[in-house]
Amino acid sequence: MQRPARGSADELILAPPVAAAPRARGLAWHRVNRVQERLLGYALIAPVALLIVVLIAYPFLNAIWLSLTEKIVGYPAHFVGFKNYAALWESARFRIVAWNSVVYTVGSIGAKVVIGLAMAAALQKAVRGNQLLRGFLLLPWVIPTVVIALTWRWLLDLYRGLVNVGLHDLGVISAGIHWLGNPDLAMLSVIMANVWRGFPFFGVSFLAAMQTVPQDLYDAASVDGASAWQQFWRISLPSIKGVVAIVTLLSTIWTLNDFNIVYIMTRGGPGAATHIFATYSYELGIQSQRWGMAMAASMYSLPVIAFLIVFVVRYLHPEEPSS
Amino acid sequence: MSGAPRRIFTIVLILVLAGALAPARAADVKLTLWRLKTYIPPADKILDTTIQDCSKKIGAEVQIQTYTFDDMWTKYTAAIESKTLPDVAELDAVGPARLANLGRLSDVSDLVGTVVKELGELAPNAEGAVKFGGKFYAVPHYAIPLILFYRKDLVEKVGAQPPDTWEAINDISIKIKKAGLQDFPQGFPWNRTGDGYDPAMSLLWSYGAAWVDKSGKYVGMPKDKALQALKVVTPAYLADKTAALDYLSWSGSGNNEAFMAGKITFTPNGPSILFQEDSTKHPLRKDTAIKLMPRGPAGRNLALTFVMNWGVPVDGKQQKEARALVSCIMSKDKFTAYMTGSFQQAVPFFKNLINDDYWNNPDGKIIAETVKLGRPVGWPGPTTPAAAEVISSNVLTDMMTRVIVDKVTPEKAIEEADKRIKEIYERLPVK
Amino acid sequence: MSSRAFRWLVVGGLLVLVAVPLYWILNTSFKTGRQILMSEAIYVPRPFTIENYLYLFEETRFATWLRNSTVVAVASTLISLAIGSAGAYALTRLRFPGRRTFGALVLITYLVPPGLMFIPLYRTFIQIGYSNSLGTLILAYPTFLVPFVTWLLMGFFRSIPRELEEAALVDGATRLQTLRRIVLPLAAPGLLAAGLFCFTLSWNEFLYALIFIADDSLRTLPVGLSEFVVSDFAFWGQLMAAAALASAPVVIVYIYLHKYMVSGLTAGAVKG
Repeated sequence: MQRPARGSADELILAPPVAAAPRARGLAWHRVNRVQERLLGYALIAPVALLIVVLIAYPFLNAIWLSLTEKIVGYPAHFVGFKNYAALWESARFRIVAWNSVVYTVGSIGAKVVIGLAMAAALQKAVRGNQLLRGFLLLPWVIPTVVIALTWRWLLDLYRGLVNVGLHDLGVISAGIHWLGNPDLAMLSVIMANVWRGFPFFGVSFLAAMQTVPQDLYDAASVDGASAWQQFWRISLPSIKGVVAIVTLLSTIWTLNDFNIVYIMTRGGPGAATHIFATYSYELGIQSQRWGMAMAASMYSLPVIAFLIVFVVRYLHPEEPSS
Repeated sequence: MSGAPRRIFTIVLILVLAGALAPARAADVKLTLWRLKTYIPPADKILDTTIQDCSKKIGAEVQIQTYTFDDMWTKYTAAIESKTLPDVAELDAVGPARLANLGRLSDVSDLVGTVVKELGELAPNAEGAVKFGGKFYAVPHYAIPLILFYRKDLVEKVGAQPPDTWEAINDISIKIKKAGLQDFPQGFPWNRTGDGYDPAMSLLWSYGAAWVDKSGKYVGMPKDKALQALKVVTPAYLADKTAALDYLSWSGSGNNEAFMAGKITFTPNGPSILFQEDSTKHPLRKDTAIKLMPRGPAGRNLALTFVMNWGVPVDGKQQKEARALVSCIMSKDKFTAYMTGSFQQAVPFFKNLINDDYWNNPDGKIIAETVKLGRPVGWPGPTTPAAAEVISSNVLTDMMTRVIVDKVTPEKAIEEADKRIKEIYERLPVK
Repeated sequence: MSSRAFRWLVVGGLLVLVAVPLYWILNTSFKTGRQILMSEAIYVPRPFTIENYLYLFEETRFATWLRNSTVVAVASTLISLAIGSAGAYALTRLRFPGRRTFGALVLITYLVPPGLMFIPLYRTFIQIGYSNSLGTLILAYPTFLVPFVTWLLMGFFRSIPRELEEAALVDGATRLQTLRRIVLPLAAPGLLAAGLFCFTLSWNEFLYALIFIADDSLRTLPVGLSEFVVSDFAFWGQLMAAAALASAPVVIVYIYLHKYMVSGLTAGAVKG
């Protein structure tokens, strides 16, 4: 049996078991061994299973249930069917939230992919100091997101932030730019903070992936006269497409339900210009005390994620049916 | 680390954690008290000292937890659901209404009676937040009024008088901008903090645009009056450009900082700016003046949204001690000490204290006056859970930002807000 | 553009991009409140002061937050590594019915990130009767750490030749023994990478820490930090000092161990 392709979804989920050659011992030993193996298997996944059932599946089902109720803090929940979903669907504000979430996610992910690829391409050649560079560039991902959000807010302060002051001193602008007040710029600002925080993960993963591409492929291409660009597009990129897909998928899921950055930088403002699913859900749940509605709002992001997962799986294995 | 040592390490760690997480309980009475972390740290210190002194007096041990205006409801929401409200809870203007409606607060009418005996009559406008069905469910503590801060030097420079109306504020702002003194002098942030929804209520009520009647029942937002009100404050952002869009994203500290950095002329805030300027010997202190918030055609109906009250939740098992604690904190000496150490932040509701000499100075008079004129959330009716939700859902400030940011017509924004308010009152009917 | 120029451009650009905010954090942290407020001496603190750092330890509960974050991060990491490596081993090396489905299930749990789960998960903890404690966080964090750890280690275990284990098994060792003596040591880089990842995510987590914990004394760093700005006066100087100190432990760990992070990601995500 062939091993699944590197970085493929199959490899992600499960490699088909490589059949071990039967041992020379008796059949009885073999059978006992099988049972033992099975028991050990179950024992080892029991903790994961327990975690998933009690702390992920149960709350998730709870979330679905809550979204179908009118649950206000302090009062018991009562069933209302799809009323919350309908109300949100008709709410102009929620449509803005949904759109913002898409813009925020697509904008951030797009930028992170591009920067990640550029970073990987630039650091690919093993040069002295690469290690140090990589380590330094990993810092944004390491620093607490709260710190990053607060710092960016401070950087973009209208009157005293480094960005406005610096641009002013350089003579680029005469008046402060409303980074957090202008609705479009505010979205750009939160995307910038998200990208700053997230690009190292992309860059390092892509770099790691590229470094497993055999050097002879590149050598052969050089001999054939391919430029560095062409080598990148024709060799590096296709080889790592699996990793690109996986990293993008993971990051998209995280970004679509990101909370910290937007909450701390703008609280979803000005107006609702940067409100995304997670911050809106928080506002509904904590400020308005409406948990049912808050859950319904969050649930709207699920179809997108599910679609993405299916899409990525299909993309990586177009001929095979999705697992 | 391979298998066995790591496993042992993990087990040891878990045991250590278990030890750390499960403190042994001593025998004497333990109370928990939640209080607001105010903008004036020295005042907080006095309150903490008072609480500790009182706890010794009644023979209990008090654990104080703090919250800020921003995370108050995060904490209280969690506690309501998990039935772990503290023994003594400092609540804001809407807390008693919400909790009493859930049946989670004890009747403290007797406590209020005791306090009144020592501190004098309770101001009638304080009752709306704490008295329901003839009973008191929280003991009013103090109010932080929102006052209008302005730069009197700049106002004088453009030859104007300190403004008494919203229109006047607009006019002076335009003059200041024209004179090149400041780019965006008008710092009214219609945001999701008290600096936003408090002026929003004051504005609407001063134009006669209240949406309930005296009993607190929803009657609809008077569209024409609301329109008038909106049309007075949105030009600053839209047409006159005397307010910067960034102000809408301010957190609670944004306007303080902008004012003290000399970037704005007008801003609504509690007395903390005075404290901050005094404590840092700020150069602008001499130019900083305060005034009552502006009036409108329907008079001066100022909102009292920063009102702190002491509630005794029914969750607590030590009702007697909790009440004794509150009683002690509100005793004459202790409260006077707190009030006079609060840098004019803590304006009391009880007659003897409000007539105290402490308020007998130019700034103090204005601050005290604001509280006397203050209307409870839910005016002209009492504070109800529905009224509470109107604020916590930011309906009013959203109305403003819909016009300013989303460029929706004021009529449509009012329509939307009214619809939202109606829906809230349907969901949380007034009894 | 030559590839050399490209390299310099990208690297230079990224260096500036990363360095500027970091410089701004440090810069602000050494300024007095007055400098910050009045925008005096923007680029270099003048006067230079360490009063903000001192303030953190004298007037705030910074040390407590630090302790709490450390306890939660270390415990969550150890638990997630233990659970995740056990699961990963079972899913890659052992045969038992249902393992394919289970493997897919682990991946699907990614569908439910914290931004969505904070209310229902909180309700679950309330129902269990265990909320408002560091232990609550230690139980909650693995919900988003374990799926990743499992996936990463699955890739890692697969890259370890089966023959080594088979040989040991033939020689009479049990599965558990081979796991302990052969597989885990070889997977050490992967474990380290996964551990770093867990530690980082736990250290930085904000939403659960905000909602699940009510006691001041149990606050973690991210929640404590956010306190600095929500009051009526933002203490940017102290906040930036706190930010610098809050980042320092993780940064130091990474300085020494980041190459394992990369090689861990390499093998885990990439190798067949």
